Amino acid sequence: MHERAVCREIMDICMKAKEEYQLEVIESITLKIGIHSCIHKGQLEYLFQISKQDTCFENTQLLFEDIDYEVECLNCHQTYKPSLDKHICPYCSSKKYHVINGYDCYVDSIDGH
Amino acid sequence: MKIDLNKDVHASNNAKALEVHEFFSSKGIKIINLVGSPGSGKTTILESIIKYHGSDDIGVIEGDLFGDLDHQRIERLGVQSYQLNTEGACHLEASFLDEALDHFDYDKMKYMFIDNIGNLICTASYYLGEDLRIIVSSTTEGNDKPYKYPKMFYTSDIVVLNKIDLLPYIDFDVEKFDKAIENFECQSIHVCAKTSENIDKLCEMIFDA
Repeated sequence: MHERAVCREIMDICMKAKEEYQLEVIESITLKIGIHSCIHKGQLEYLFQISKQDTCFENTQLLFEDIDYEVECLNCHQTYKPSLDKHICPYCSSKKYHVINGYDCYVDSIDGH
Repeated sequence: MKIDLNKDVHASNNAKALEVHEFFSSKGIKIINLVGSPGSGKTTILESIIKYHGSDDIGVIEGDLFGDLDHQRIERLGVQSYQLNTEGACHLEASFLDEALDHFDYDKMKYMFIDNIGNLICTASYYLGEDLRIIVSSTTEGNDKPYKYPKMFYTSDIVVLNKIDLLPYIDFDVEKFDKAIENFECQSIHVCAKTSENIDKLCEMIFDA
């Protein structure tokens, strides 16, 4: 369950931002999570709720936005959103592709004062 | 006040992995990350590779939650090996490798294998600085794993289908498995680590690349 490691990273990233921007409070953290990143939002939320107690994130809310799965056709370089078991370019029918979105997870922004 | 950060949650691991890569690269050593389910045969394949290629220029970092059984297996073959125990973490991270780095004599080493934790999910997301990622899938796991764990297969350079000696006895559709990975930019090979079938060809893929 690597959500524990991910939670730790999120808190580290936000702690550094809090110091850099001299924030007193971070009210919310917006995460963008690729739908095929293998990061489970529910588990992440659960772990965050536990980890944030007695820290500066105690009243911080996690917000989630999905990043759709999107690939680039390696033949014609058009982008499209396939189903996981069917990667056929709708433009040229090539089956070769490169994933451009959907596998990653980002701390998109924080809201604080 | 909204502050845009756009920070990858894996950025610090990736930065550390690049340090690891540079550490080995500066010594002329290629890193190979072996991933796969528990019981897929990663360590047995590693043993077969060592027996075919020889032990002089190989080092192994063994990753397990607990114990050093796999480290003992590798050491018996005369290979330098170090056991990392995560004590619960389901994957290796680049920072975990620091503990192992001082335990090797790098004089003759050309290849460092990392025998990763058995896991098809979390290990996909953690780059360890490797030059080559090899996923070991086995016939006993079923032919649908590339569909069920796409990130793991997509991020691998070589897909090894192991335990092909069991094909007459189980319902594994090799054609379906090969079709499932045909769109990935990876090499693939069918082997039997136990009998060493096609281990020579796997060694060519690894050592002659």
